[in-house]
Order: sequence, then C-alpha cells, then structure tokens
Amino acid sequence: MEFYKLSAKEIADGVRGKKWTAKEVLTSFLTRIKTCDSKLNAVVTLCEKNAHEDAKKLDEAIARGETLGLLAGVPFLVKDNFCTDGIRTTCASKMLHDWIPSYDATAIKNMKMAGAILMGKTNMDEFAMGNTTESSIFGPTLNPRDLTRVPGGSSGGSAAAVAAGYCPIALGSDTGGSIRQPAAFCGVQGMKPSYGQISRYGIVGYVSSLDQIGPITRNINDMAIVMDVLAKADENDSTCDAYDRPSFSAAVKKTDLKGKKIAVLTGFDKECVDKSLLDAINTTVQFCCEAGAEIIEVNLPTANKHAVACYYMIALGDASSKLACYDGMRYGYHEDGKNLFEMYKKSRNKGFGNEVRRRILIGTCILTRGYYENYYVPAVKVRQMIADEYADLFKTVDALICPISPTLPYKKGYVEDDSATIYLRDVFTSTANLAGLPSISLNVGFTPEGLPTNIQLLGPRFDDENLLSIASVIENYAGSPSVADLSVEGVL
Amino acid sequence: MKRQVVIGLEIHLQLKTMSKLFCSCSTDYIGAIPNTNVCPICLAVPGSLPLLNDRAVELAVKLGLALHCDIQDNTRFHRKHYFYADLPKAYQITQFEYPIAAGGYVDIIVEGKHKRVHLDHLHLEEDAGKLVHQTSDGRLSGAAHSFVDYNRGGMPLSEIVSQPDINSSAEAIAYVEQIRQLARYLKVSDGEMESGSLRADVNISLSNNDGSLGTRVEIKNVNSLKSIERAIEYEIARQNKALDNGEKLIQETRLWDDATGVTRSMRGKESASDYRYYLEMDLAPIEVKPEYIKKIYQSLTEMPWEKRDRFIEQYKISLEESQQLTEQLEIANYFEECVKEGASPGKSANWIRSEVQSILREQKIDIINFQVSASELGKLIKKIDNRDISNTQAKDVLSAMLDKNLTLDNALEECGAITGRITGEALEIIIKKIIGCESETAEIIRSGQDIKGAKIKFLQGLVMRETRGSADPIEVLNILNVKLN
Amino acid sequence: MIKKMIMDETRLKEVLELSKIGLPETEFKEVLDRVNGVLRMCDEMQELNFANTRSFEWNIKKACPRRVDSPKKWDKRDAFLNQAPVRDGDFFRVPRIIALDEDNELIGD
Ligand SMILES: [Mg+2]
Ligand SMILES: [Zn+2]
Repeated sequence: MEFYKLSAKEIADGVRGKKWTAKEVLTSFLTRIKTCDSKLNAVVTLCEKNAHEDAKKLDEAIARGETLGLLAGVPFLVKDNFCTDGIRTTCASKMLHDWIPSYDATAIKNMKMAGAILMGKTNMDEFAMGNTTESSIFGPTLNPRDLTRVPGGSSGGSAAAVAAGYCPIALGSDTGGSIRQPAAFCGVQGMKPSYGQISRYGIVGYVSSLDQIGPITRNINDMAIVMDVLAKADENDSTCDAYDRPSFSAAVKKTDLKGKKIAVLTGFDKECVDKSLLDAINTTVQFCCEAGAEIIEVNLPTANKHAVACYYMIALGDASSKLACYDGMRYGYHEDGKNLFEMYKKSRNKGFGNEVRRRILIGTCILTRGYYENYYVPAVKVRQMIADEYADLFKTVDALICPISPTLPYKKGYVEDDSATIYLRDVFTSTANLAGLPSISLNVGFTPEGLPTNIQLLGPRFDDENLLSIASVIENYAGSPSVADLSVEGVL
Repeated sequence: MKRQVVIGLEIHLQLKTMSKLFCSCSTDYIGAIPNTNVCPICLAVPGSLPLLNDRAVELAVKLGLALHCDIQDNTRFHRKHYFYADLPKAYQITQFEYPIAAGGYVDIIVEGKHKRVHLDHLHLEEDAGKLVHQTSDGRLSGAAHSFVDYNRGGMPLSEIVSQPDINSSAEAIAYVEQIRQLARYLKVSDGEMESGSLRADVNISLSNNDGSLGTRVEIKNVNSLKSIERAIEYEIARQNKALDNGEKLIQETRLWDDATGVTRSMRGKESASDYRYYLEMDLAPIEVKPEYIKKIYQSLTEMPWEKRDRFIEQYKISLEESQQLTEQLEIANYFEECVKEGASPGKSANWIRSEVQSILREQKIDIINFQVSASELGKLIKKIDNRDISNTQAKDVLSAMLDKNLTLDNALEECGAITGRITGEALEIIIKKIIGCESETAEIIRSGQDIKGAKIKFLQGLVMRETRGSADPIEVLNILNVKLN
Repeated sequence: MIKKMIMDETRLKEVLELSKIGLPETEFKEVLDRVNGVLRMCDEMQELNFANTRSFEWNIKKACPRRVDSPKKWDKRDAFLNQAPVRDGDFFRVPRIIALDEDNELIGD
C-alpha cells in the first residue's frame, strides 16, 4: 500500500475502518523517511520508539472498539521548535542542541489526542530566523521538487517532508511567512491561522505578537481537519482566544463562491515578481470568476510601502528580548567564563549562529533609548495603520489574493542582491502576521520545469473558516498537489 | 542656607498569594530546598508563557484602594531588560507606563504632626531569584562560584512609588511603618523587612539654594528601618559636604553597606543600563471593571488610621496610646475585646501596652499566641476597676496564669485574691492588729481629726495589703468605722 | 519630528554589552552596514502622519485571563535540573558574584 500518497483523512478512515493498522501505516512512513532523508535532510530527529508505542496503543484501542479521534493513526512531523516531551528540541541551533524538554506543546498534545502519531522533528532555520532552512546546524534541507533549490524557510523541513510524502501533515510556525513561503516553495498547502487561534504554549518563542503555528498539508481538506484539532482555547496561553470555534472541516464542503467578493492586490512592482507567479494569480482569478465570485482590484498603500520596515522593527526587537533567556545557565549551550557576564557572552556567542546574533544585535539596538522612540514607536503605529487598512478592506471583501514570494524557489546558496526583491520577499507574507490575519499559501500548479506556483489568500481576523472555504473551492479547480516524484530526483 | 532634604521611596511588598505572579509555584519559599518552588514559567524554559494570578490583581487593587489610588482599567505589563543571574528571562515583567493604581496618598504622623505623602503609583511586578554564596550543605563557595536559587523568582510584588514628599529620615520611617501597618491590616503582605517581604529603595536629593531640586541619588540595599534611617542621615551628610566643597553630585545608584555604615557608588555597573522597556505581548490588558473594584472596596475593613482615631474618640485615650494599641490589628482587637468584658479602656490600654507587651516581648510571641485571652484579661482588669483586687495582686494573678498555666478563677484562688474570703471574726483580728500597730493614726481618727477620711482609707489599704486583697474593702471600712468611732 | 539615526562603533559596543553578545572587531563594519541598512529602510516610515493613529497594542478580543490562585508542584524538576549545564546540588552555579550582603542587589565584578 502506498500510504505516502494518501491524505490524512484517507489514512485515518482506513485505520478506523480497520482496513489497515496504525502500525502498518507508521512503519511504511518511517521506511520512506529513512530511505529518502539522507539526501533531503528534512528530518533532524526521529522518535521511532515513541511512535511505535503510540501506534500500538492506538491499535489496541481500535481492537477494544474505542471511538477514535479525527487523525487516528496519521503520522506527523513537527518543526524542531515545538517542545516535545522527552524528545530533543533544538531550534536547529547549537544553543539547544542537547536540550530535552519535559513537556509537550499544546499543539502536540492536541494532535496526539486526535490520534495522530508523532514521528519526529523537522529541520528549520536556526531559531526560525531565515527563509531558506540553510542556517540550521544540521545543514540545509533540499527542496523535494528540485534538489538544487532550497525548500524555503524557516519551516523548510516541514514543507519538504509533506512534499516528499514523509507524512500527510506537518506543523510549522509562522512569524513573517515561515509556514507559507516554504509551503509555496515545496508545492504544498500551508496556513498561518489568525493570531490567537491556536495555542503558542510550548513553541520556542521568537516574536510574541507575531508567532502563530499552523498546518502544512497537501490538501485543504486535511488542513481543515488539523485546524479542528488545533484551534482550541488553552489555559496555558493567555493570548489564545477563548471563543467557540466553528467546524473548519464543515466549512470546506462548498463548491462555489457565489456572493463572495474577492480582492486582488495591486500597487506593487510587478517587474520584480516572477511571471509564472503573476500567471498563477490570473489563473486563480479566473477560477474564482467561474465559481461565481466578484473580483475587484485593491491597493493597500501603507502595507505595500511600510510592512517590511514595520515587521523588522517589531520582529527583531522582540527577538532580542525572547532570546535573552539563553544565558548558558539553566539549559542550553554553556561556556565557562571568569565572571557572570563573560560566561553569558561566551555561551551566547558560541551557542548562537551568525544570523541569530546579528538579529539580536539589531533588535537590541532598536529598543535602546533614542532608537526606540524614533523607530520602534513609529513601527508600532504603522502596525496599527496596516491592521486598520486590512480591517477596512475586509468590511466589504471576503478575501484578498496576492503573491507569497516574488520568486520561485531560490537555488541553494543564492544570495539576493536586488534590494527591491529583498523587500518584496517579506512584504506579502509579513502583513498577515502584523495584522493577525489568517492566511493560506495555496499551490495552484507547476511550471513546465516542475517548480510549484502558488498564490496567497488572506481573510478577516478570526474568519479562518471562510478562508479555508474559499481555498478549497480554488483547490477544486486547480487540483491539490501530489507527492514529489523522488525517483526522478534520484532520492529513491 | 540649609538645604532641604527631599526623599521619595519605592517600597516593594511581597503579596500574600498562594502561588506566584505568573505561575502556579508555591509562594512558601522561605526555608524551602533551593529550586523546588520552580516550574518552566519561572525558570524561563523555552515555550513557557506567563499566566496572571487573579489573587495578585485583587490584592494590588485592594492595597491601591486603601492608599486612595485611582484604580485603572486596561493596564498592561512591560518587559524590563537586564542580564543577571537571578533573572531567568533576562527581563522582568513589570508595569511601566500603565500601572494598575495611579496617584493616591498616605497620611503619616511624625512628632505629633500630621503630614500627607502623595504617591505616584502602585504597580505589579515579579520578584527575582536569590543568589547564595554558600550551598545548603554549608559548603562555602570559596572564590570561584555563586549559586542561584529561583524559589523567590516570580513572587508577586506590588511596588509603591511615592512622590518626593518626604523631608527627613523620621518621616521616611513613619511612611514605611504606615505602609507596613496597612499591608498587615489588609493582609496583603507580611511586610517584614527581616525576611524581605518588604523592601525599600530610597531616592534622596538636597534642594539647591534657589529652591530647585538637586541631583537625585538612589540608595538600595536598606534592609531595616534602622538602616533606612542611617543611610538617609549618611547620605544627607555626604551630599551636604560635597556641595559645601563645591563638588558636583552625579545621579547614580548607591548601595548601603550596613557593616561600615556608608553608601557606595555602583558606578560603572549601571552606567550602561538601558532597560529597553516595551509592551509585554504575551499578556493581554488587565481588566478591572467598576463592579470588580466596587466589590473589593466594599470588602475593605477599618483602616489602621481610622481605628486609631476612633479609639481616641471612643475610649478617650491619648494619641500615643491609640497608636500603640492599633499598631497591630490583633492587639487592637484584643484591646477591644478586653473592654467589651467591662474593663475600663484606660486601664486596659495601660495593661496591654505595658504588662502584656513586655510578656510578648519576653516570650517572643504574637498576641494571637498569648495564653491569656482578652476576655480573661478584661475580667481581671475589671476587678481592679472595682477595687476587688489591687493592681499588684492582679499582676500576681497574671503571673500565676502564665507560669502555672491556670485559668483566671484558679489563679485568683491560688493568689488568695478572692474578695471577701477573709471576713467576720478573722478579719476583725487582722484589723485589731493593724490598729494596734498604727496606734497614732488610730488616735487621730478617734479624735475626729480625720476630716477628709484620708487616714481611715490609709488603714483600709493596710488591711487590704495584709489580707492580700482577700477581704471585702467595704467590710474593712465598716469594721474600721465601728472600732474607731 | 523625523530623526534619522545611524549606529556607529561606540553605539555598537554598547549594544554588544547590553545584549551580551561578543563580536570581533573585524565584523564591526559588516554588522554596522546591516543595522544601518535596516534603519534606512525604516526612515520612510517615520515620515507618515501619525496624528490620528494609536499604537498597536493588542491583537485578541479578550482581556487577560486570570488564573485561580492555587499552588501546584512541578513534578519534572529533577529531570530539568539534571540537564542544567551548571547544576550544583540543588543550585545553578555561576561564576562568583561579589555581593555586599546576603540579599545581593546588583553588584558583580
Ligand atoms: Mg520595580
Ligand atoms: Zn513557577
């Protein structure tokens, strides 16, 4: 049985219907990972023993005739910044290389409670800072669609894993696009839910007000199921909103977009966006029209012009704060010093990689006297302006379509030098985090060379089910991406 | 010209909650094994998030209301950044721009004079851990290491920041005492400087000749009322001397060294400090709606200063007496119960302030652990009031109750202090003996020269003493009258 | 008031101290270029009219939830301490900090 090609729903249905056992499914996926990953390097830690135990328990429960969760027997992987009880959680950094948390993140708990089986942890940019998954101490992950290219980042390992058929579901975290951009690069579907939708408890923090975790899958239906599992109030996270969530899987049953008004973003430099990605937007717009939606064009001047600057200020400022706890004392990398501050400096210097240290420095600078008033404070105001701009838009519009990344997946080791492209790299994804909006990265096809093309969908705050519903209609037209053919790539 | 002393105080009170400010660890940390009252949140374990303690908010609001502050809705927490071994996140979650209670004041009395000290605000924040230089098994750390215990880390604190309304060390002490008394009355904090549940930082400056404020110096590490006083006096002298010599003072933090009695500059250490305050986005705004505030307001009992004034009014005692009696709520309650038994307020006040207090000091106990109940003491004092027994006898009775663990009745019995026990013939024999010994006085009375009755009262006193109070004084008087008229 | 700021070497040294990060002097220029690049990118943001704009303060609907005040013991304490790089018995160990007293306010060498 080629389990790796199945959706999460198909696997769970089969487990529940006793067509196959959780153990069979798990073994098959573990074998695939072990066969392929020496090349792809998407997984940094496998927890086979725990996974087998969980699968065994699940099979026993089935034998006893117990009712099972939505994801019964579905194996999954998570980014290595999710705390996992008894399993090392490294953030792909020397700083946490040997650190073993003694608790599960709420997301992990909820997945397990739904019957999903945790197989291991995926590669990422160190401390989620980057968009290529090349800054990991475990080395870069390769893009399963084209091994010469990066999988995007920072949740590159999770996106690559889903594209490679390691699992039907992987979880990532998204601070400024870290789920959506790698999902786009790897040709899978990724979602950053509304801020406050899913508990952040147990996710190694980067930016308190921007971080949100979410699913990476190969179809919107699976994504909605994962949302049903993860989107719950949590007493361990004061920022996880306590409202009654709708059924997300019920929202993805629609087949048309009648009565929906969908906006398409304009006002950015189209010269800097890859033509195939602009084409993807046009094709999507056509699908939407066919499905009965009304299309309008909108310009969001503040977001277009200032989002990246605003994002940098807020993200780096907070990162410098959140990463201050790594002092080499209670956990993490330690170096002796002749006094306290020397111990801190040595531990932090050697424990953090280059990019992380650079970002901490910039962030610290931004929060110091003078810079704070002149840069951070304006950024916090711009953030409100951007949030208002979106709130105004969504008074009359159901969703916004725009690009994710201006480019197709970069070649490995590629360094952008065109500043306009660098700016656009973050501008489309960071706004959703700044304004707390739900956003989906949707694969809508592939270039003739086999590189994935995609669009981004944004919706109003806490209207994640509406966004999923629109995404599923578009997906019906475009088709959901299949598993990357690793035999062509020479991985298998 | 004499420069005026201008002082502002920051008082940190540990709030009496069961669990810490942002986590469920126990607050019962004194004497606990190091690093046992800890969890992922107060150890800053990656992935943990702060969870606000409801009771801490309630206590802060309560204290704020008692201090006449405006309680603010929608207040926020900020992060205050600095690296130190006792601060696991490398930032302290505190309130900065939006404290939960703003304004307010405290009235103090110094040398009989009333004074109002205005407050800037009161805010909530978390405490830091503790550094130890010796391990629990007694090993001295030598030169190489210090040790960190996070049991105290994350304890809830309310920081009360006064305006620079204080002008002497005596006022500073009175202010701290008033806050401490209030905290104890409200049961929001133990307010003990010895154990660190009350800590104060002193900001002090001398006003310039033109009346403008001078350079402000902050003094930390003043761990007792005495050291607050000494540190302030030292700093006044130091600053005056420097200014007299034409030196310029610098704005700085100085540490009080109790052993040597000087303040020392922390310069160099803090010069690079920039706390980089910004909003704590892991916690939403704190909601305190009017109904919530009202409920807490209604739960407030009599304030210590209200009680003090009422005692003066109701029991006709002096300010000093009332201050002493109301200093501790438990003593004030003891006094009132005593009076309720019918004992006179004046005598009860005296007894509690002298006898009882000295016993408490001697036994090193609080009034709630005092063996003699308020009602027993009240009954005893009532006997003095009724002249059933003498003051001296009452003291004997009290000693008997304490030393031999007797009830009041048994102690009275033991001391033979039961009125009318010696009566009739037995009493007449004693009186005859006294008259015999005091024949001169007796003669004066017989000759009708004791117009004011002082002499006969003198003899009555001698009889009472002789009988150790066991006679009925009226009967004594009657017999004396019969025998001498 | 628009104030364009740059970071120079003096400031960088202060920031290194504040963030407890070390940086060889050979890398100063690269980092300064990067920081100043970010600041330049943000200059334009300062030109916006903020007259009617409040600061972004919160992004969920509810007020801060409050936990019931009841103590709970953490049962993973030993597992955690076992992993600490500088554990010493029940303590975490740090280089000697010179304090004036037991209560040790900020002072070290
Ligand atoms: Mg403070
Ligand atoms: Zn704790």
